[in-house]
Amino acid sequence: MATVLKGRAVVEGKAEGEALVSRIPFSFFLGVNTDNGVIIEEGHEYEGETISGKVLVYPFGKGSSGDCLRLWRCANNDVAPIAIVNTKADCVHVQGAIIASIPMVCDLDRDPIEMIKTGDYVKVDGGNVTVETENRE
Amino acid sequence: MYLTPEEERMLAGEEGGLVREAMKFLVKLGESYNAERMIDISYANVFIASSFWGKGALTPELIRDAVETGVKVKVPSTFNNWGLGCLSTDETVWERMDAPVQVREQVVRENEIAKSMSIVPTWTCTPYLVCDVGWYPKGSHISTVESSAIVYFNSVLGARTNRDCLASFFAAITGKYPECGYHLDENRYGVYHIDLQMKVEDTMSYGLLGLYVGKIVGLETPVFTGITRPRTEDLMELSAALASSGAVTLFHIVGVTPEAPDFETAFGGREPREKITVTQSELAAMYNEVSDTEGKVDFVCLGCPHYSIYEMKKVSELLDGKRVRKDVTLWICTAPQTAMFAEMAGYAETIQKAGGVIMSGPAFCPLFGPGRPGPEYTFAHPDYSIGSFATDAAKQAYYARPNLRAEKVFLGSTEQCIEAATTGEWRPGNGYSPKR
Repeated sequence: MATVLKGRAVVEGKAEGEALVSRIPFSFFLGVNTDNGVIIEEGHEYEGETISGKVLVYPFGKGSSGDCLRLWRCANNDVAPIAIVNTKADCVHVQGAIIASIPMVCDLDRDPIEMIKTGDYVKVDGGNVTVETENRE
Repeated sequence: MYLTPEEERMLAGEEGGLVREAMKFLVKLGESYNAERMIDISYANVFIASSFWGKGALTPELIRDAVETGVKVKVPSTFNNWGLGCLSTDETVWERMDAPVQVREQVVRENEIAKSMSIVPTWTCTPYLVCDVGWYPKGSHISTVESSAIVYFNSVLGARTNRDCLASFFAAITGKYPECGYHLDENRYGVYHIDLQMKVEDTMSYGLLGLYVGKIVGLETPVFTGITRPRTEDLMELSAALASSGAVTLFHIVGVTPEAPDFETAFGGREPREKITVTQSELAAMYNEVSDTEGKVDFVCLGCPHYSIYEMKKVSELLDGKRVRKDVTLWICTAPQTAMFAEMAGYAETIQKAGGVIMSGPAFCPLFGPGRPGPEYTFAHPDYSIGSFATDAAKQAYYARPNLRAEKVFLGSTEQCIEAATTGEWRPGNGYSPKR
């Protein structure tokens, strides 16, 4: 079964892949090694996992204004997420997604943190986010 | 999005490649927020961030071309670096920092770019302390980087900026910014009511309050009641902490900050989404979350955000006639302009005599810490640790474990931190008690 969430394309684009859902606000500065995309935030649910090649889902970005640069560096190192889905978009992360050309969606009709589970296959197309749920355990 | 003929010309590349890319980026940003037009800004505080240039709108070639063709910023602009972590014109500091050659080169390069483009090289996260804030009267549209400065400019000075990063550099180059976010009245009203049922008098309480509230409100605007006479340093600390655990852009304090003469005005006549009561027990719990209670101390770092001159004075008085323990490092981080001031006033000499190190020169950021940055920075190297770490800044305590790989983190008053620097110990009795 597939669920389609409708939102606003902050950065236009198409991408599809496996989702990684951070239930807490995300910081690239606090929490990502930009050499390999691995989450290093202490106590993060997915500490040790990589954001590289994932559809990264989180409520919003938090913390340093340098987060934009860190996301950009992830992209320059080819370890960035392929798309970003936010509940609400923080301006710093929007700027990172623009410079790194990463499709980004927010303001969806349902909360993406509730609707998407880590491991789901997710397609982002403009403001539409399609979540494949048939393989959920 | 409507563009004026002048903006269209910039977008068409008539002022060169960098201005074109800058305008392109700002238009994209405007489209992200459904902005209708651009507005003129009166000030920008930017990152040059040359170590990040790569794919995308900012390439080394574009910058080189802009420098060669004499592109200047269109509004008064200041800058800081992001992501260097260790810079100074003092060679011995470079050695202590173990700074690699490419980092030193970056400092020289960025200073040259700043000079060429008419950006004032402030090298600090607290430009509002060292530049003439008379430039930005209430309601001025500006664009600034530095999460703590963003909150301070918006909340305390009443200027208007979003949480910006690259957009600030592009805004400086064009003098423009899309009319969206916190530039609009309707987005500046309070959302959460934070009611303090305790007296906050000490700076650390403001930091803990910021961490606690930032976690709850996320990127929404909190309105505080129950705060009466904050000092500049208290508001810096609050600003920094709100944008660490959260992504706060703006706060109001009823009866104190410029957009909150009264409760109704602060909320734009709307009802708060939620009222949150804060007492000493919430702040004590926050303290226990970020701070360890006792143990030896290897490293003491003060000045996050960069210390004001009054804090420099206070530290010099606390250190007068004392001696920092040989096996402990004490850094006091401040803007180069404040460091000069401290030198003139004699504070620097007292601090240095006691064995404290003033870290300034271009943009020392205490969040990055010393040592072996390699391809990236300290925190990217899992085998590096700063040891046990003490600070008087809630923001820094919050970042110390992941970024500096601190074994233990101690948060305390400036007095407690200086004591730790001279004894090498964090006393179990330090804890949290809201006294100045």
